[in-house]
Amino acid sequence: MKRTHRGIVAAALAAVVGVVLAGCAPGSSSTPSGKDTDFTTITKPVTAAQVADLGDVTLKIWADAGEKDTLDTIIGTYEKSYSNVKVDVTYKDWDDLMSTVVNAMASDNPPDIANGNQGFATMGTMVKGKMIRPLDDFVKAYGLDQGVPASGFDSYRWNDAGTSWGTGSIVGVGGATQPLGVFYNKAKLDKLGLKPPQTLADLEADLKVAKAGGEIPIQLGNSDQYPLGSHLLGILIDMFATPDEVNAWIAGGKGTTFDMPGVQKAVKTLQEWGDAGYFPAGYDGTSLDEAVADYAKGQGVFFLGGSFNGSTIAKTDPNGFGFTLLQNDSGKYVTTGTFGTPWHISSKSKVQPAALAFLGLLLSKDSAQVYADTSRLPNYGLADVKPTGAMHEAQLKAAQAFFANGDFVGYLDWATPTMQATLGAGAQELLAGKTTPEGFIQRVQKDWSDYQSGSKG
Amino acid sequence: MTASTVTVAGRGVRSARPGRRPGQRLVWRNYLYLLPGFAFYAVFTLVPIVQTIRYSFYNWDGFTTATWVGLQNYIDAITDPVTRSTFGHSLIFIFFYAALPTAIGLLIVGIMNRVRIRFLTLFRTVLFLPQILATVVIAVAWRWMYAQDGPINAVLRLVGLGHFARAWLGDFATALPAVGLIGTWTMYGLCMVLFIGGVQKIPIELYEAARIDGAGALREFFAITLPGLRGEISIALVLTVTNALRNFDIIWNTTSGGPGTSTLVPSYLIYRGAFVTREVGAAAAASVLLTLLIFGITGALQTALRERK
Repeated sequence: MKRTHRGIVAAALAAVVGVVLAGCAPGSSSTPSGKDTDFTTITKPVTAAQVADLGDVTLKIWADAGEKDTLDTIIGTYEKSYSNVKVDVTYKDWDDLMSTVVNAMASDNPPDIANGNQGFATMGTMVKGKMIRPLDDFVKAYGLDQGVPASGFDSYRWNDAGTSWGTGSIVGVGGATQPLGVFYNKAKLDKLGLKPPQTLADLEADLKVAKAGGEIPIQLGNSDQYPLGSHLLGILIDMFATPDEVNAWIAGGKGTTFDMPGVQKAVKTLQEWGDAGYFPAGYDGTSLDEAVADYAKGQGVFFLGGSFNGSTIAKTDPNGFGFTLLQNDSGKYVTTGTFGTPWHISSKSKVQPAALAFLGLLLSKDSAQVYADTSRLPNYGLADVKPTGAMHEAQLKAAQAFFANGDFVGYLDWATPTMQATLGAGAQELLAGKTTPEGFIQRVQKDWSDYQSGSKG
Repeated sequence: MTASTVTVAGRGVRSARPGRRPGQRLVWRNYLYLLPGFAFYAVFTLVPIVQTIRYSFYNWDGFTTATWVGLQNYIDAITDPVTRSTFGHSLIFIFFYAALPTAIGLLIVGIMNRVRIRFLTLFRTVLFLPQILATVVIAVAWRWMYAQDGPINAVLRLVGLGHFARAWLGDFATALPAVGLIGTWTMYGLCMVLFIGGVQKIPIELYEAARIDGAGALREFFAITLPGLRGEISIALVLTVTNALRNFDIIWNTTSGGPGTSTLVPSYLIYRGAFVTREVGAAAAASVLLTLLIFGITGALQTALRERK
């Protein structure tokens, strides 16, 4: 009797195991359902009549929580213009969004519009799985390629297979540029008798004075293993290496290596900054948010970061801080950045005209002030918006100067899905003296080669 | 041989139901009652387990077609120094999550047994509280405690030990034990409550006899309390060891595995591989290894602590 009981249980388990194992390779059953020809290309902006033809529909959006203030206003305008469309938006924190958005876009009932992120892990997977609609026609029809540097689109361009980026179709577009730069505390600069830095040499001279003056030269919070190894190192690499060679490496270019002279100098400089005590004590135990809040309250002379940090600073004190980008040796502004967090349209969306009209409105010059009202830097209409304060004004000026004479470099962590962790952990070890600049560079390059050779599962 | 053939009338039916008598043929119908439960268990537990095992043999991003790589993911997990170190960190966490809380729980029970404590219920509740708090709350509270300008450093500076002050969670030397102590704090309440319950089952005569024989507090503890709690200790260790090995939320909310990789644990790697970096195969292999490790250690514990009769 007991034997038979066991026999039945074993048989049931075996049946389950058998059923599951009998399937073919994972993923093969869910072959890409979106086809390249699934959409109608447009040559001019979508009209209200085309959207009205859809009947009463819902436009589903997944957005980064940072877009909420902007979207709330835009959605109001949109629903007034297209009264047959109801917008249903889901906001997610960045980490949450990153870990769920690809699954959502791969599902049978995906959001029509979603925020994603550049790089192989998110955008690459979406392209590979044919989850998103190419937007070349949309960019042309709405004139979004006018008045902005072409290099800003590079990070949105992918080959059809989703295996390399930098050239190919535009698959996403952002609304607000996010150049990484240098925030400075005006009162502290005055007190120390310093001027806002224009080059890395200026900045390094200022840091020395700030340290001697008993100040925290650079505010930093890195407990999330970010932004030391990505943003700070990125800014330094932008100063020492050429945009082309760095971008080629990030995009996985054959024969490129992280072990290039510009990177070597940058990594060494970062280590020297750590040794010189330019960062606050215990920065690996402080989160970035805490550090930005501390900086806004007057702790630290400089803060290296992006416009996404600026909103918090401007909210605390809209006039007490300045922002500047650094010029490289040839007098050009070079910095890590993009046209912002990309928006995608699902290839399975049944309301594509409504989705195109929404992005068209969100990215148009008419919406520029909506971005500016939350101290952001709209890609389109940068020169015409009213700033929220002196710091925002400085950011707008810096972005305009950059658009006129600047080159974007990609974020280093786009290089591989694991790069953020590799850079983050590596930079902490570098500054703690647990590894050398050479060891750090080798580790980063190993991550890159492992990924590029496809050996990691 | 069906039920109807032996129906005698009225209540006779009940005793004549088949399938109860030893030696009788198995009645499949009875298993139908188990089917709904089994189906639920199969769909939500067995299938995912088997799927995970299957994924572990593939190189897969979670969406596009996977490629068979055999044991490569396991070989990578075992040979990669960072992955290997995460299992080492887990073993250290067993000390902080399991050994230390058990020891503290036993100590508290040993004291309670000798000394009459007022407001016992109150103390018990307060000491148990960390167990029922959300781990995010615990993590945020301890981040503040450990911060550069947090209370722990403030106390150190106050007593003239300011040079020891540091960001405890951001320092390579202290991050791992600092996270571990958070685990100790959350776990010892559970151990204590289990042991208090167990002690009350030990016959009071044993203690009386021991005292008549002149046993001191220590002797009494080792001769009566400790052996009497064997079962509870086993349960406490299995629960806390499992918690130590799959520790994720505290790490996620305090150090993110840093600084460097000094507090990285397998479950963090698994989460990152499955949802962030899209190395589903590698994450699945690490899951299988972690599950085996948990089975191995808890199984060994239970065998070692089994009541021998």
